[in-house]
Amino acid sequence: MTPDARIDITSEVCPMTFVRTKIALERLPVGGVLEVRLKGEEPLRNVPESARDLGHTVLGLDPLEDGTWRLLLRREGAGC
Amino acid sequence: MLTEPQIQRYARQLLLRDLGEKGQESLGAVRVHLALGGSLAGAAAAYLRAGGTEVERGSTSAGAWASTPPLLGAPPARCLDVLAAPAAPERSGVVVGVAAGTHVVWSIAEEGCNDCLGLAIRDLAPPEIQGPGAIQLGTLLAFLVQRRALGLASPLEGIRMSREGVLSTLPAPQCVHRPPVVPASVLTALLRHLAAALPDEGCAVLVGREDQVRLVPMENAQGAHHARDPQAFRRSARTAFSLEPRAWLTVLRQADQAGERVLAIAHSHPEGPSSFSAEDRRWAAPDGQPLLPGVAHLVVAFGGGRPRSACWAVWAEGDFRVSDCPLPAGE
Repeated sequence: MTPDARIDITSEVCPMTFVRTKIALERLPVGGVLEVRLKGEEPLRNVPESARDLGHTVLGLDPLEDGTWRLLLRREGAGC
Repeated sequence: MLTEPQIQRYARQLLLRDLGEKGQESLGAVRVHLALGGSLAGAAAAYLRAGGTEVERGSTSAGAWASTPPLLGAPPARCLDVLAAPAAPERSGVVVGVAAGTHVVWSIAEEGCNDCLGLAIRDLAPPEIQGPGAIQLGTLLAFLVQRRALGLASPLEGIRMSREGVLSTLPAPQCVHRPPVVPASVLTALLRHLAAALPDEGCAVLVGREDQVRLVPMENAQGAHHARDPQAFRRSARTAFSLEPRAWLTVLRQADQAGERVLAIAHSHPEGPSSFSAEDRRWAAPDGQPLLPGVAHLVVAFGGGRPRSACWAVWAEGDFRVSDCPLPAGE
């Protein structure tokens, strides 16, 4: 799946990890797919969870060879 | 789009579900005029500025509440007035006052009804502007201004704050100062009913609640009255209407049972004019006071067998206010 936008939050810490993700999702049209590169225990636990709390869909979360993770999110509903 | 310094500064609130980037831009798009003083204004200004909203100085001395100015993208376009009762904003804004020892705050949108606001705040006294209560109240003011800026508030919204700081929502007064909002389908059915009565005047009642309006077609009893007693009922059904008393009573009973109310009485002028006539005025307010308080009147003017135009008449502040009622296309 080709994402509509990509962000890299591997150098961010909480709460900026999800702030970046939330704004990037808001900038997409409904149905748009965002790829998030993330690293570390905190964002891995919180970013997919927070996105789901706002009503977005987690399409996938896969480890990459360099130790980071690739999270795919689909932007849902206008109010999210 | 927010700039990087804006994202950094407003990061925590950007996380809120109802805020986000667009919401933050909305907070920055209003300018607040605080016509208040003391720590009431100070606290409100501090919270508003911290949230990213411009507060006009002059009305408030910063004092202990000095705060960094908001980071704005562009100069704010809209102005919101925050006033102490009994003053009320002319267009959009917030009024704060006190009644029976509890604080009350009303917020109105540009499309809100100022007559309703006037009723809501008529018993409010100005609030204390100093002391712990005033600081608490200032934070509530900031909150309501932000809700208004974010478009989260209803056109007229009231909140009460007890001495203990407990918030409760106040019911907005039922608006009788503006014509009811009638769906096109109901209006179309009304026009058909009135057309069927031609060449006589037709009449009908609109019953319902704010969000739900239904048509009750009525018979024009004027013809029967006139035939029976032409001295007392000089006009025939061609130039007058009257509601059949038993049918009218049934309408009122059924509305009561369903928790509805009579929103409007409609009638037609078979050959114009499209106006709320002197005769209509006498009918609706025989002794200078409305016979049916809170009920609007709708007059539909026909010409050549077709509806040509319509107007509303609504009682407000001692007289009928007449306004145009657009007819559905194709009728």
